[in-house]
This record gives sequence, structure tokens and C-alpha cells, in this order.
Amino acid sequence: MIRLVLVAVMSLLALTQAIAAPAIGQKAPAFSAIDSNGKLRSLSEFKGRIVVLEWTNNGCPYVRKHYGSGNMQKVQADLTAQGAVWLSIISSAPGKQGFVNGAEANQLTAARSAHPTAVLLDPTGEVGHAYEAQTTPHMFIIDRQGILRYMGAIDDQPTTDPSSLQSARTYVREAFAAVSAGRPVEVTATDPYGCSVKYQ
Amino acid sequence: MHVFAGLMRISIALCLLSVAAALPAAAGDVATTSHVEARLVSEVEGVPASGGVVSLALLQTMQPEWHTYWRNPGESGEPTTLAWSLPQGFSASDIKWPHPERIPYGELANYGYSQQVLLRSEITVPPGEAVGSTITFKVDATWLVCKDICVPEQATLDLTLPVVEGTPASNAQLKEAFAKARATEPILGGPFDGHFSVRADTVTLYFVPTGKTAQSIGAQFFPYTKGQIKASALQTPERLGQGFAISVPAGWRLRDASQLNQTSRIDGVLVIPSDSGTQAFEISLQKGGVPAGPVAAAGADIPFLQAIAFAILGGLILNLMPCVFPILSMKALSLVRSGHAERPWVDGLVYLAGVMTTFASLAGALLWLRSLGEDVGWGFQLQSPVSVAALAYILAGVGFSLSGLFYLGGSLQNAGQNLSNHTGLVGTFFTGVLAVVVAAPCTAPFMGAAMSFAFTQSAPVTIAVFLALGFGLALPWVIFSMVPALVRLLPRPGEWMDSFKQFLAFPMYGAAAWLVWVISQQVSPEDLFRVMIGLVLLGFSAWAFGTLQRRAAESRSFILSFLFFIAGLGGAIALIAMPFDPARPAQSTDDSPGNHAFAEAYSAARLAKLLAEGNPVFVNLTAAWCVSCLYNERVALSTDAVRNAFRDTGTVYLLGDWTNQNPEISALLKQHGRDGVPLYLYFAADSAAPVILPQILTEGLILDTLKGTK
Repeated sequence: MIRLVLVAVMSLLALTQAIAAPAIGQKAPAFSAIDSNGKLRSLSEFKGRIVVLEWTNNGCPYVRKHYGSGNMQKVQADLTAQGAVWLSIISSAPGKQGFVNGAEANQLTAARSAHPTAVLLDPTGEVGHAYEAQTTPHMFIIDRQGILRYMGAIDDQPTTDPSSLQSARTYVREAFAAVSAGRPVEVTATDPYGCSVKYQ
Repeated sequence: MHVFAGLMRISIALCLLSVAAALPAAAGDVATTSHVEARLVSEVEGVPASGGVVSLALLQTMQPEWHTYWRNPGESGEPTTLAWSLPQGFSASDIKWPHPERIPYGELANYGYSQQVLLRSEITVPPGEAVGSTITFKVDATWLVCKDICVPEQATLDLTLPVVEGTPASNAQLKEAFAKARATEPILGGPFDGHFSVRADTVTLYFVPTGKTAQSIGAQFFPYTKGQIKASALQTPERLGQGFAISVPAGWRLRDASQLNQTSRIDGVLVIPSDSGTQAFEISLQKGGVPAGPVAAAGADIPFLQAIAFAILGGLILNLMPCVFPILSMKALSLVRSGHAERPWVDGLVYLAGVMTTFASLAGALLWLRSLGEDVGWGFQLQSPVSVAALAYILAGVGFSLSGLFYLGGSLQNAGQNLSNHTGLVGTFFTGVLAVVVAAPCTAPFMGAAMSFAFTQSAPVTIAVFLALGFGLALPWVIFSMVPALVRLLPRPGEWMDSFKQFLAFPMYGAAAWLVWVISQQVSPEDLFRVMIGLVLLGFSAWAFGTLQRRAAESRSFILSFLFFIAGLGGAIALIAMPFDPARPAQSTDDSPGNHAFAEAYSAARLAKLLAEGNPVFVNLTAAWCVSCLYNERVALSTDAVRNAFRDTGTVYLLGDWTNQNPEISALLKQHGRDGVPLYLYFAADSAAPVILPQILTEGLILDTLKGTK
């Protein structure tokens, strides 16, 4: 009896684990934020669907490479057509580059023919901090069970040069395809590249 | 302000113009982009006809506050690139990067250069070029330049040099710039051996000088690979033996288990400030804990014996803890019951063995977990609600037994048997084990510091300290059992023993209640309720178990009792095995740490920012389950005088609550050689090196510290 209790206690003691930064294979940090239409959105409402998070800042040259060339819109359109929820998140603080209000965000979406499911406004940087978003763009993919499956760069071309897109390996497409098909993701994390997120 | 900045910009532009005017043709092509003036330059004024190596460089002059990036740009950004177009037979080396500076941007940070940087490339010249002819070198350069926003820029530059006989003359105008660049390039094979270890999301970098003691103040490490360490984390070198260590939060590469396995070294540049500028060394840090040799040896001199002495003393004190005392008393009772035992000292030694074995296994388990990268410091057993709840169950369970709900260690009939028989000794051994288990929650709040010391040492020292603690814990009973005169002092067995045993249940319930309070600081009210229901179920199960012990196996009620016992125990375990909601309720009770209106929550970024601004800062790292922390907060940190002193001196009070796991706080503790709370740090204005205050604070001490009279 005592022996059993002791074994149980020792294994329980061993269970202690840090709750820390976003990690692949772990539950993605929960969040909620106001979208560009003033509606409160949260990660939990998309349970059962694959969610793609994209940190963005329309003034950043790296973001411009992807939107100016139509690349980001194409990835958005392809993935959302396959059932993905695409959340573009703006963590720029008021007065900083990329900060927009809801109406401006909607104008931006229309002007560049983007296809996000929603644009989330995160001027306090709360969502950005939960994911430790560093750059624009910085991408995350969360599976149907809410587990983080990919984090990092959109592709393997850390440059502002649009011609780099031709030979780019788009990690986000690969990871989404794998998650969608229930296969393990080959490249689960990469170094994000781009401009710093303009936190307050 | 704007006018001033404008004037500054104009005057700097004028300076640059005058420098540009003074430069000879060999200084080459200039490209002026919106934020950078870029120039292709040569260290020498000609190309040797006999062949050799000449240095060409891109000289970037940034506008004030703008910066370009190092080879690892840090948390964002992009390094400068040079693509050379060279004549047949010529080749260019990679950029010889000068060491970077850390450039904070908000809470992120980059590695790069501000003001001016010379990016040197070594061009290998083949022999046999005709003297008098000229060679044209062309480079396509791209870079990202950032201030609060970023601009990608590029330039194509060329430079033509004559082919000359013998050694070409050096370029007088640029001699200094090249010399400066060379001096800031890292020296290969510097006077350090390096190691690193990763423990639950904290990377510790160890630097051990191969020669004499090394300067460590202000040392900074810049890794070549992005994502290995958190670039924005403040690096505070800690002296360790002859060398020093820097602990920083891990980047994603070292947080990810598979990536971590693939990482056998961290390569980068160690920059050490000195009187004559800075020195930079290229270092390859090998995976492995504290390196053997000077560091480990230096830590183990006198403090080792002291630590052993303190550990024995600590173990003695543990005997008085409410959770251990009843166990010991039970032990005494069993001796009273078998008062005629022939060799009580055998019993004492077996008990000692039980205690020591358990402490050694605990130390072994902790060391093993740490080698796997888990962040377990002493006190860890109180950071997870699951383990706190499990400890509360055990204490309550022992309490139920003392209250007579059921019998521990065999049936009532066996309890009085001769201690020297087999069953008796096994029971005694496990009493020792149990004493350690119930002592575990008590050691964290009172003995965190001693335990911390143990874990900064090598594995044998750690285990030695734990064993000494166990020795101290077992010592009173061992002495007691060995001195027959003391045994004879025990009162005669009788009715009083049952009453006394039942009385002893109450300290256990008290300790369990304290643990439930700790849980209340960690989980939501719903989850707290779950734990309390779990305790009720445990009691139910204990009662059912007791009826089992009293009943004959074949009766129908035996089966019912058995079902009750299983259902109760299963339910109790299931209730705490379900995941707890990590969301912590707002701290509102008076006893909560952090009940200081003027305190701000600690974060590494906040501390770095305050220090950068030159503010005086007081850091209090605390936890709800840390009794001495709460005591200090009560008597020394929340008085009106202290409150006023904080306000009058403009000292910012940062409070880090370690009740639950918090990697940033763990990192700060480790930086200061601690494994547990409390830790009090005071940074005087414009000082990056803190004063570490004692673990027991007084109001006067705080006032003196804040007012700088101490």
C-alpha cells in the first residue's frame, strides 16, 4: 500500500512541466481579439478547422514583397478554399508603422484583394506576445484539435527581393497540406524573417 | 527637439561630405541611398603583380539611429550581402564580420551596426597580372537598414586599382578604418573553453578561461545561428570559479526537443569590453553541463563543508515541522509498544537507511530530469497544482490513518511485533521513506537556498548535500534508538497512546490545509473545489479501507467496502489527474505575494528597459508557498516608510511571482545562482550590476538600500 502510494507520488512529482512559449505539438495559446469589423473573435470558435495565423504590417518591405507580388493573396485563397481559417493579425501599436483601425484594415484588404477569414487588431500586442511573434510576416498553423503544427517563416527566402518568390519553398503550403491530410509536418519550425513587429 | 535632430543630421552630413571630398580615388565608388552612404574601398592602393591577398570592403555610414545587420540579424532583419564580380582567377572570401552590437527595438532586439561599419572581404589575387594594367572589382551589395521602420537598399559599386610591383602602399586615408575593423573582428581560438546546457527553455553558456581569470563584466555572446537564444534577453554574466556563465531564455531552436538533440554546439562571438575598446573571440560552445576543471573545482572549496553542515542542521530542524513530527511520534509509539525490543539500534539504522535512500533517489531523479532538460529546481514540487494536490492527499491520508480510519503498515495485530523481525524492519525502512515524502513540502519554503546551492554543484556534491540533509533528519531517532537510557525514559504503553496518535492527525490536517491554500493560488475556484471534493473522496475511501481491514473476506459487506474503497480512491485520483486550468485567479487576499499597489509585474524586457533608462530598480522574486517570502513582504516590504522610500527615490518595484512555473523568473534566479525564491535584487540608478539582498529582510535594511546609505 505505502509502496504504491510512493510510486504514484514520485511519478506525479515528475510530471511538473513549464507552461511557456508556443511549442510545436503543444496546445496553441488561446486568444481573443477584435476583428476589423468590431467583432470579438477567439481561437476557440474555430475548433475543428485548421487555423493559419499571419502577422502583418502593410508598411514592412517583406510584407510588401508578398502582397505586391500577389503571393500572399494566392496562398490565402488556396488555403481558405481548402477549409483553412486565415487570421491576419496586426500587432502594431498606435503611432507605429502598420497600425490601422478597422475601416483602414478593411480598405487594405479590399485594395490588395486579400482573402483572410478575418483581420484581427492587436494594438496592445497581447496576441503577439502569446505567440512570441517577432517579425512580419510570421506564420503559425494550428490543427483541428488546437495543436500548434508549424511556426516560422512563410518560405525559405529571407529577402525583400520579389524575384526570390520563383524559387521559394513555401513552408506554410507544405505544412498546411500535411496537417490537412493528417500527415506529420516535415518542417515544423523555421526562423521567421522580416521587420520587427512594431509593439508599443 | 526636431530642430535639434535636423541640425545634427545636417552637421553630420557636412562632416561626411568633407570626408568624402578628402578621399582619394582609391576610396572608390559611392552610393548614397536614403539612409546609408555606401562606399567600396581598398586597404591598399594597388594590386600586387606577384599575387597575394588584398582587402576590399563595403564601408557603410548610416544616418543617426539607423542600423544595418550582422550575419545573424537577431529577432528580425537581414544581413548585408556582397556579391562580387571579379576577373578570371580572382576569388573573394566571405565577409569578415566585425562583432555586432545588440540593438534593442521595443521588446525585441537585433544584432547589427549603427553609425559606421566596414565589411571586409579578402580578395585572392593570382600572380602574373601585368604591371601598369588596372583591375576593376565590382560588387552588388544589398542590405536592410532599419530605425523604427525598415528599408531594403542595394547598390552596385566598382573600384579600379593599378597592378603594382612589390607590396602595394597602404591607403593612408582608410588605414584607421581598416585597423578598427580588424580589431573588432573576432579572434579565432580565444582564451576560452566553452560549454552550454539547456534546462527547460533556459540556455546557460559557460566560459572557462584556458589561462588566468578572465574579465567577465559586460561580456556579451552573439550566436551565429538565429533562434538559438532569445536575442532580446538581457545577458548578465555571473562569475563561476575562474570563468563565468550567462543564462538566457532559449530561442525556438533549443526549445524544440528534436532540434535540441541535433544541436551539438553553439558557435558565435564573445565580446568583452576592456579599457582599450572591446575584444571579440570566436567560440564554439560544446553541449554539456558545467565543464569539469576550474569551474567545478572552484565551487567546491570551503562552501562544500559549510553546505554539508547546514544541510545536517536543516535536516534536524525538519523534525520539528508539523508534517514530519507526527511520523516521528508514530515511530516513538511503536518503540513504546515493543518496549522490550532487544536491539532498538538496528531499528534506528534501518530508519536512517530508509531516509538516506529516499533523499539519494530524490537527488538522482532531479539530476536525471535536469539532464533531460526539465526545469526542476527545489520547490518544483510545489509549482504544479497536480503535485501539490498529491502531497495534500498524502498528508490527509496519513492524517486519516492517525485518526483511526484505517491502519498503516499492516494490521493492528502486527503492530506490536518484535521490531527485529523481517516485517518490522521493512516497515521501519518505509517509515523513513514516508518521513522524507511528507517532509518534501516543508523543505521548499524553508530550505530553498540550501537546495539551490546543491544544484549549482557537480552531481556528487548535489547528492552529498541531499544525503547530509537526510542524515540530519534521521539523526535524532538514530541517537534515541542507540542510547538505552533514553529508550527507558519513554512512558509505559497504555490507553494514552491511542489518544496521542489521534491527536497527531491534526498537524497533518493543518499541513494539508496549507497545501490546499497553495493550490488556491494556482488554479481557478472550480479546480480548487475539485481538489477539496477529492479530499472528501479520499477520506471516504480510507474509511472503506478501514472497514475492509476489520472484516472477514467472505462477507457480502466486504465486497461492498472493497467497491467503496476502489471507487473513492479512483475518484480522488481522477479529480486531480484531470488537467488544471492554468489561468490563475486575480490575487486578492492579503497574504498573496504581489499585494503591493506600487509593484509592477516582473518581465525580463521590462527590467532591461528600466535599466537602459537608468532607473533604480528593486526586484522581488517570491511565491505564495514561500513562507519566508511572505514574512519579508509583511514586515519589511509593505510598511508605510518603505512605500514612501520607493516613491521618494523613484525606485521601480518589480515583482516576480514564481508560485507557478515562470521561465523568465527561473532564468533570473539562475543568473544569480539560485534555484528557488526568495531573491531580492537592488539595481542602483545607472547601474547594471545588482546588489543581492539577504533572504531575511528588515525595514531598516530596505530603507538604507533604497536611500543609498548602505
